[in-house]
Amino acid sequence: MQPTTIRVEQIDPFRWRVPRTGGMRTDGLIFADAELMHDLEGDQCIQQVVNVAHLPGIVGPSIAMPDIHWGYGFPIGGVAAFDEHDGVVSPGGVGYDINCGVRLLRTPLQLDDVRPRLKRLADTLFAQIPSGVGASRSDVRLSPAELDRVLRTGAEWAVKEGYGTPRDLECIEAGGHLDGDPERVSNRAKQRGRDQLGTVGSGNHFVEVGHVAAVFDQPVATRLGLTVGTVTVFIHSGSRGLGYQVCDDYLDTMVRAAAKYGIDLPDKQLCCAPLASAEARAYLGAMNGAANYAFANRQLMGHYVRRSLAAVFSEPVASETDLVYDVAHNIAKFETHDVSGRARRLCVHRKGATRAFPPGHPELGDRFRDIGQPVLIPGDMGRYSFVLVGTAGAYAETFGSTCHGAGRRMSRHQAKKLARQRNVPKELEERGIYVRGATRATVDEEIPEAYKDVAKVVDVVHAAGIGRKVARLEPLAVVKG
Amino acid sequence: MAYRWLPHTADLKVEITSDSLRGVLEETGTIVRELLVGSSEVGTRVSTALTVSGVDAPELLLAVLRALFDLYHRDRLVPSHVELSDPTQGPEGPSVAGRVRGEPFDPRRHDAQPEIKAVTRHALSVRQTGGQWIATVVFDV
Repeated sequence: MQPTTIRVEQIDPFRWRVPRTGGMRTDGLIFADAELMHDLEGDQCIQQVVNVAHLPGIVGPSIAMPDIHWGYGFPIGGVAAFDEHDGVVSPGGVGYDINCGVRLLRTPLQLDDVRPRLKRLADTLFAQIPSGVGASRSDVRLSPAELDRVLRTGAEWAVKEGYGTPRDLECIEAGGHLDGDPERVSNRAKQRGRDQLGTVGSGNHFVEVGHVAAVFDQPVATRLGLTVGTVTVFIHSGSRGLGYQVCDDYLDTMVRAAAKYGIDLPDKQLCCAPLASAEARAYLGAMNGAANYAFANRQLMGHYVRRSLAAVFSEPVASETDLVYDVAHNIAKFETHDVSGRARRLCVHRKGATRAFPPGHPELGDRFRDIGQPVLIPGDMGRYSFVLVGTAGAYAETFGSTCHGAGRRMSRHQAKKLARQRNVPKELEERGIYVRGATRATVDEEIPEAYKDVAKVVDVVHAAGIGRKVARLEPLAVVKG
Repeated sequence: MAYRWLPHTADLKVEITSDSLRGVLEETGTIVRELLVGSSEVGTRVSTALTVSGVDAPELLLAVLRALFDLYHRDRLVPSHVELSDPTQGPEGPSVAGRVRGEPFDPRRHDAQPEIKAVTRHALSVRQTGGQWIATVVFDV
């Protein structure tokens, strides 16, 4: 199950096929250009694409996006769809940070309005949104019944409690609410999540003030309110300790389930259960609950971004700050896709991959039906991020999925070693970017050089037709965990 | 006993070497300390009992590491070191008992490191080679 060499065939400048061999049930399909493929040498992520192709009930290829990198079990940047009857669900195909995702807000401010108060805005955001390991809020402590409501209704709970507006819900994937079942979430997970709602966390999570630096698709950018100079706020976070615990709990369940159902695994971290099993139903109920927690978490952070803008600028600035979109990039969802001319209900796993539904898709609200679903692709804290929209190409070829970010190219130890003799916040400040970090260690691990150039990743998905570039954003201030 | 960090692009992978399984398991205290607070000094004024089991040696290692992170999430306890008995083999696999010594996290003295989301089963192994026990673990960051 662990071949030492993997044959990879180039299909065209942006597609590579890993032909089915041995126990693989399907091919692997990697989206990358020659340079990005070269970067993957020595990384085990292509082996992981192969491993995923072994899982029962997989439909279509085991797919990897151009930001693919070595994960645990599934690669980060992987997409795999499974038949609802013969397929499986795997917590390793979703990840520990269930519904880790990105939210983008646009303010009514222009770059020149913000520059003079940028430092104050960075400090206010840092104070308003707790960050770092185990960060918690003393002002949002949920009773057990309230937490269950969060797990059941997601961002709707937050809006009902006054954190945001009903309009926000129209601009969140799935309306910010999946079919969560609090009964399937362990007490330990609930305990970990009770005081973490509205916190950004650590690692690569952030709150970033930026501005629209370039527009590639004027009509769509205008519809999204993203004209050059518009000041934006990106939020990247997920389900915090609650989601990690749900994943851990159900990995134990799935190790037993895989043995019970006789599923042969090339890597134990791919443990899974048939979608029709009780174990799968329990996991999906808990995973959806954790996903709802993440939607509510980002909704609260969006609220505290508005409160920060009100404190630094004015109440009208806060009330005129609109949500552009909020999208998950670690999730498994049932969706209907056309497979060889037949509509099939599939459980699509996206781990470090973003849903990218095309114009006209019935799941998109009126607001996005003619332009396609907005796709948010953060880069690193020193360069840029992108806004794309979903395409018919993605729907046909990748189960409506595209990339999710830059992808690391350097290990955390390498990054820290490189940053040790430097003052990274000072370097960035000299370039006009204010960084506020809970710890030096996180900032050092997240240096821009540790990541691939996200522009190259986005160029591949644009050229391959599985996403369409709309705008490029550049950072002004970053709060790191 | 020794451990070293192996190359990994996104997460953290460690290799632990010892002349006994008990040694491998005890090394987890030092590893978790480094993952939580880097090279900060950690005192030993708190001591708490630890009893864990697993269906096999890798699952036992996973259980010890999870228990240490759980102590941090629950009580903010940063381990200084771990003292364990030799593993005993029961009908459902090996188990160990012992103590974790450490102190509560203090942001004034401890340099918090990026959050470890979980101890994974990816590439998890414990094997005996030429009188040495060698284990590998990947942590999700």
